[in-house]
Amino acid sequence: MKTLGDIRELRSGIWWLICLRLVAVAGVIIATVVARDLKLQTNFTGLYITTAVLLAYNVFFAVLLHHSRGINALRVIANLQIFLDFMSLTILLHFSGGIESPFKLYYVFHTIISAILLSRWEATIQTGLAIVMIGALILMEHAGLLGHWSLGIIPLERMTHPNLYVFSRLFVLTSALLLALYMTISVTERSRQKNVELSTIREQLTRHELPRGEEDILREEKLSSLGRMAAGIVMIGALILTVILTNVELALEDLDPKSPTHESLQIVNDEVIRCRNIISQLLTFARGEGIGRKLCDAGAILKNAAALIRNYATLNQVSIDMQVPPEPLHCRVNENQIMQLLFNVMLNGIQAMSKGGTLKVAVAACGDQCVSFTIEDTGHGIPRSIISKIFDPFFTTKKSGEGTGLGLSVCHRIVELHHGIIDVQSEEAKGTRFIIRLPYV
Amino acid sequence: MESGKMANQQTILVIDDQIAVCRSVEKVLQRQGYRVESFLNGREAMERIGTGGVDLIVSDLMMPERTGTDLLRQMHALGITIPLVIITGYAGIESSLESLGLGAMDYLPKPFTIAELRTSVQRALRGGRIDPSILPRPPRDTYAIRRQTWARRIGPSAVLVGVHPFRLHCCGAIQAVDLAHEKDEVVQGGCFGKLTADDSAVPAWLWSPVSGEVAAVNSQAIVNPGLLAADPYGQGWLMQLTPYDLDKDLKALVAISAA
Repeated sequence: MKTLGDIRELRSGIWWLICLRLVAVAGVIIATVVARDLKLQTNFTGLYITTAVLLAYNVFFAVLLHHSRGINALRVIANLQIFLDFMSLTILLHFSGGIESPFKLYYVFHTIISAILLSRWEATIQTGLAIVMIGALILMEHAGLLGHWSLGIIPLERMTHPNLYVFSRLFVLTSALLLALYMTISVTERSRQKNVELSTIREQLTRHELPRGEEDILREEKLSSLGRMAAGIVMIGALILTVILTNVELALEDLDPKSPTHESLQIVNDEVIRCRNIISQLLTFARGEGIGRKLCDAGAILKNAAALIRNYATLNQVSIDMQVPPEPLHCRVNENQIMQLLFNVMLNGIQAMSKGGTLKVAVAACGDQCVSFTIEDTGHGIPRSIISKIFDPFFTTKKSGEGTGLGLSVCHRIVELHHGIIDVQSEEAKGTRFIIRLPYV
Repeated sequence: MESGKMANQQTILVIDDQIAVCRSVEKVLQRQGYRVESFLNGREAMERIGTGGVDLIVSDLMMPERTGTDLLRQMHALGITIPLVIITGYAGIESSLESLGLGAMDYLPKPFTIAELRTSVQRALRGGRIDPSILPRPPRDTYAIRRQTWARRIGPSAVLVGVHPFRLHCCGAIQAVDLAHEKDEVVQGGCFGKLTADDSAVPAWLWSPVSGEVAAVNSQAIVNPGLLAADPYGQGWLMQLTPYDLDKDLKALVAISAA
């Protein structure tokens, strides 16, 4: 599948080839001048003409490329260039010693370049054509049908090498080209495969993220208003809590530690401190934490989150079925954020099971460098019509007053911050499964 | 024991646009014998500062007319060196880096416990009495979040970080050092560790000057906290980090070496 990225890649590849050709032309000119100085006898006219032709079609292609759009035009340009290059190289070969020419090696480079720029079949055909051209040239020289220009002091009009010499050299060159072709194709296929995987992952992330168009803008607005709202709430909260906390502590200082009033105020004090911890998590400016990621055990995090929600689950007649591997599962995450994430998803799961049920939670390694959390409920499921909206901030299916619609959007944000993927599978009246994959970064 | 005014002779200014906060902070500090004067806006506070006799300022950041950072900048421009502690309702890394970079002694997110407030005030007052010339000089190429923590490049991808001797003097003798672990990630302006000093149960938080991954931790410093005061820039280094973007981070820091 061709995307804008592919077009851009091909275009820049062709530009690179054009620049490379300029370098090659310079090289040929220098080599010719040196050959002249060394009084080597060869068809200088031929060399000059070849150089001029190379330059001419280089300019031609540069202009053509500038005015071309679309993947097909680019592919034609690329193929044409490669073919003409092979032809020029063959002519160059003819004027620089044929089978003895040191420039044989340039064929290998060119095969590699064609395998990088073109598709595997185009590259194979081009290399095949090149082999035919070289073969034809050499054999014609060998058979005396074509003159032979060697790079020697005494030019020979005819090639007088034994058959074995010619055929063995030809064989070596041909096999070298085919090997180079095969090798480059495998390497580029593999890297193309990786690119496809990467764009699939990116696509998956985008599916859950911002769709195109108006919804995009709307969601951005919601996100920023969410941010502002959170900031406002937090500031007011912090302010009020400051006054409460300081005055409660001052009162505690004055009271006899054994008095019941002291006990009550101490409870208030503890709750305010707890509230403060929640606020700092929301702001991610927590005392004592580096805010960054730490090496953690994913299993331990899941167990802690489950412990937090256990009471709520029992109250709602939900049992928790947990699967955690026996050995620690390392990941580099912000522990608080992941706990919050898992807690929110589990909360959603429990709330979906109005008549009770089982919440299955599990964590496992997914591949080499990745950890995967699964949270599955047997609740009412999510209708297809709204499943793409569940991560929108303020989106909620609960009755007013029961939920803010913020939980899952926060979860999505946390997954995003960790460069992970959150997937949801659901069937109405059957249940919902959340799969959260976090790479080990 | 430091010489200096007794607590009941020291004057502290509290600046916050919320009267309830001012009153609460007043009560907390008055109980310790300080003289406290409250102001609801920075302009009036500046006028009061101009008349002299102020030993410490406790100020909010978000205020109408003049913010806490405006105040810091103005004081810096006028060469006023009264120690200042920031208290703020919307704590964040950016504002903490900015405030500390402008010379604030401490950054206290609201809500704070009275122990935290008192310790901050105590340490800031001590800091105000320190003669900077007695502090060890930093070696070349050392940068710092003002007088909090320092960073020094020791290789293409290696930075040493530690605590500024000024901060150590504010806290007194260090009892324990707690730091992040190898492979943990730290963020510039985020906390990478804490010091427990014998002047208070409240730790002194250490804010990282650089963002990066922890490559090594100085276990010597953990075992023997005295190393920090003895050689804060040398043997008393705390962590070695692999920075993510040192050039970007350096823009928020101050070069503190003489050379």
